[in-house]
Amino acid sequence: MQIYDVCIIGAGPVGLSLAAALQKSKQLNKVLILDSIKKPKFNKQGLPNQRVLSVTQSSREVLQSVGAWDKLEQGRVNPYNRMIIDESNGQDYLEFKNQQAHIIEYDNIVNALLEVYDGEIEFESKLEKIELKPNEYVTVNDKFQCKLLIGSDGNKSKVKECSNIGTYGHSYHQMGIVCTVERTDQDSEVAYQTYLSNGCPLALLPLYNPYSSIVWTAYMDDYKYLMSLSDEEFLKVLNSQLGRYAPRIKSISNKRMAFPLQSLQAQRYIQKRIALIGDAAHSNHPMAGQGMNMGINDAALLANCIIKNSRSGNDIGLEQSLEEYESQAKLMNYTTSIAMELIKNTYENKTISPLRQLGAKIINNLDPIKQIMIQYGSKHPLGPSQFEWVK
Amino acid sequence: MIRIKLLKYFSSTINQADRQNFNKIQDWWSVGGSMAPLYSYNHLRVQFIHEILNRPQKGKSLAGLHSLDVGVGGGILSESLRRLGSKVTGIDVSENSIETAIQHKNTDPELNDSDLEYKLISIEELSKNQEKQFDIITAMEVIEHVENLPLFIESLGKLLKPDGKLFISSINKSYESYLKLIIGAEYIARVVPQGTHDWNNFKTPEQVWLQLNKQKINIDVLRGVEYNLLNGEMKYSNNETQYIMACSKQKME
Repeated sequence: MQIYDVCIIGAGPVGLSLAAALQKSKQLNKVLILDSIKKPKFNKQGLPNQRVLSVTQSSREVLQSVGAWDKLEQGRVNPYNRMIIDESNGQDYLEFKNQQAHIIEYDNIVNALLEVYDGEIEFESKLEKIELKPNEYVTVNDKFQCKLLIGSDGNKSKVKECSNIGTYGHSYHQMGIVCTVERTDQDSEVAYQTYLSNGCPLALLPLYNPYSSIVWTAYMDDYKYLMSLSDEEFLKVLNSQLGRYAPRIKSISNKRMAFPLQSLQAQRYIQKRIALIGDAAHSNHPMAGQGMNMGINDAALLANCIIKNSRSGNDIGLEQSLEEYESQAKLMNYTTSIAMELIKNTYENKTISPLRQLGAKIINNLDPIKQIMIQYGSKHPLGPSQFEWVK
Repeated sequence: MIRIKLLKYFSSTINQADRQNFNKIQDWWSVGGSMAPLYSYNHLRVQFIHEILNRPQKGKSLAGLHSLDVGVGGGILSESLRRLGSKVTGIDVSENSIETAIQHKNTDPELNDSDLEYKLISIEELSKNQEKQFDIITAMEVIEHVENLPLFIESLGKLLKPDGKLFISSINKSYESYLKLIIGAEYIARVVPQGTHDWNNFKTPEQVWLQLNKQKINIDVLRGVEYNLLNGEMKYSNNETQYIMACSKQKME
């Protein structure tokens, strides 16, 4: 039976970042990626895709370190440096300047990472069975064995299910609606987030001109209504709801897509010969667009951990070896989750509305505090401080 | 004079009390167990060995060498050295340790060959029977459990190739080591089982140096190491409460 060092399930940005980092370290012999989807094709000329990601400074550093950043289709990488957060209940707003974030399409990132990673990868190949016998490596699909199996296969992770790792958390009973729209203005440097009267955020994220991507969080009733509308009707509703600072929308460019919002944490991120990263380990509210960034941080922490243990001649599948990853990643992700939950509750709470608006006004005029917020938002203080694969 | 020689001949390096203690340890390889600090120490040990051998820490970096690991415990370092490409012989005097090490070796199919072997034997017995000498000898956290240090070092000297490297790590005999390793680690933080260490048996680097010098072995590098209770990592330190050293034989002119 074929034996791999590491097998990664899921060829998304997170799984691919990990694979690219491991490959770059040249420390492991054999890495394999499996995904059930077809090999994605990125159309460089086509209309933007609905799935876009907000890439923070720390994720950008990871992508740069594996060489994927330069492989991105640069014309479709949109840096934005201002963010305006307001609410339809009040006059006050928050404006963050000097942000260093980018809005990039999901497909663009995946494509760049696939160009960098030239190891073994199998598309249209599903994970069906995991078997872990004593004194053996983990057997996958009765076909091959690996020393460490990594699940980066999303919040319905098959790896998590097969290895009986529990999940706790709750659903927000909300859906996130995404689609691409065409703006009336040509200002691609500002991102807007408006908290609607029921506390749900509606975000307008600038893509390359003249496109923007919207992420509309809606309760189930609103969601059904919004999805049932025709494009023209939806455009009208959208324009009526966008905050007073945001530009108006000219047209809807593609189909609306929706996904359920949950706050989930896997009970363990590791088990003997198993590790979970990205959405497989945790998912939270998308309002700050941190999901993929947290995942990329996971990938960097796990890559560090694997490379370090491999260099020391340890068994990379042992819990002792993986423990460092789990404790670091959990600490980092829990703090982010708690921060998200705090912000969400602050904006949903009607009672403290005047207080919140006063707070917004004060913070908006206190640049030092804003600087700290920007710094923490773009680079997690508990995230990886160095990359073992560039040593 | 003859009596003294005879005494030396029959005496052993085995400290029976410590041997009994090690026979009781059940959690050499359990997560968060009492031996977990050793697992994190292993990173630093392997790094130190590479530094001294002047080999980049990449891939099968120790290929072609034959190592002797004295006092294998659960086999943490022996397994590491084997995975990095070296042939390894591990010895210990505790039956429990050897059993644990063999059992754990079997959990990794990669180690399933004769290039990693464990033997229940004391160092002086091994040096009597064994003609072969080793490129690397490691005695990590062992000499504080050893009786008759002169005999122990003499046996190490016999087994070391003329151009081989000897690595020793241990705990200094000082007030600080009593506070940190016995009161701190065993009684307050409880990261190490009570009774693991006997302060009276700790050795200062000077003591070790004297015995090494008798066997014409030099200490090349001596460094302090420190356990960081906050993140559980071992790192080099100016404080020599715990120390690690690299030694080699003096060149004959």
